[in-house]
Amino acid sequence: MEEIETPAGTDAEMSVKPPSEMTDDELVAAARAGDESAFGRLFERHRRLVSRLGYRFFPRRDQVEEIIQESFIKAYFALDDYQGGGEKSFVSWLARIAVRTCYDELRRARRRGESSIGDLSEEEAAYLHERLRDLSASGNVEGAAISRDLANKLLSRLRPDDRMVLALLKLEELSIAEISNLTGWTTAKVKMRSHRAQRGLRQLLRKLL
Amino acid sequence: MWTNGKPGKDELDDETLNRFSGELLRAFEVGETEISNAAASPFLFRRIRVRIEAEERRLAQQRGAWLSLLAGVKHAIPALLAFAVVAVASLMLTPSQQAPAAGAVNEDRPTLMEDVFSFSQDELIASAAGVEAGQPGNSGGTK
Repeated sequence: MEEIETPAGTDAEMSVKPPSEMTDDELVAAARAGDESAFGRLFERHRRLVSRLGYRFFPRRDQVEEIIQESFIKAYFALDDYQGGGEKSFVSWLARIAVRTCYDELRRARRRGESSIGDLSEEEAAYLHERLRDLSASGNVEGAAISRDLANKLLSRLRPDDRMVLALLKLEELSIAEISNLTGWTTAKVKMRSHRAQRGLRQLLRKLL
Repeated sequence: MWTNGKPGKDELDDETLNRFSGELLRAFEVGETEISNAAASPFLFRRIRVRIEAEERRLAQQRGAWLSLLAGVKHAIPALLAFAVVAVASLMLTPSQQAPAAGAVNEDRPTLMEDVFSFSQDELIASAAGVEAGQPGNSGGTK
């Protein structure tokens, strides 16, 4: 079903063990030794993980593809720093790189002043206002009713670190400890940002009314 | 309607807004198909490879520039050493060749006073006497 773009020579060069049976750590070791196909195999295995993380922060496919590319390029040049270990170690390591890449891109986008609340058209503002009133009245609103683009414009008003914590907490449904591990921030910092982000989002929505 | 300063109303508002915030975040969620489509984008790995190779070339060029600079410095080291030896040697030799004899410094006269010292004592006395007598003094002295 899913067409996988196989790098040249993937199967031929793995003489000892079929690449599909190799662990991530073995593939990392092979990639370090200069085997490009091993890195290709790692890419095939984990690109969905990076794609999913990318979509937590960016609405457009081209942005997510850029995050995938950037994350794997960073991973490639950081292979020597990878220490290995547990079964999920490479996944955690790659997820950290991907989250960091998303964070950097969020900060860049904010510096460029992309997608601010000022970008909301009158129709969008009216739509949002209407949805909020509906929610107040009936308490029954489907998230799908709000376009992703509009949601992105609103979320872009948050500080990148607040948005990061909020997305990982509410969408990825990670614990404070997991977010701490993923971002490298202390648990106290994650908690503080989580509170601040939720308060910020409430204030932002109030401001729109 | 939303905030009017009453505590009960504020709590309700916060609750409503929290729910809406949740909806807002969920609006951002995408389906598995979209995730897979972005991940399986054609030529994605090839583009990564191209960018990695470009970055490796750039790093190699950077390394090459440093190495050539180091090589240049390495070649220049003998010349710099030779220059340093010559400079030190000349510094050590020059003072001994040009050092004036002891006491010679006191015998030097300032150049500006050379004319004054070239007058004899008689000429100076005669010149002073001429000034006192109201005669303009001859700059060259009176005979």
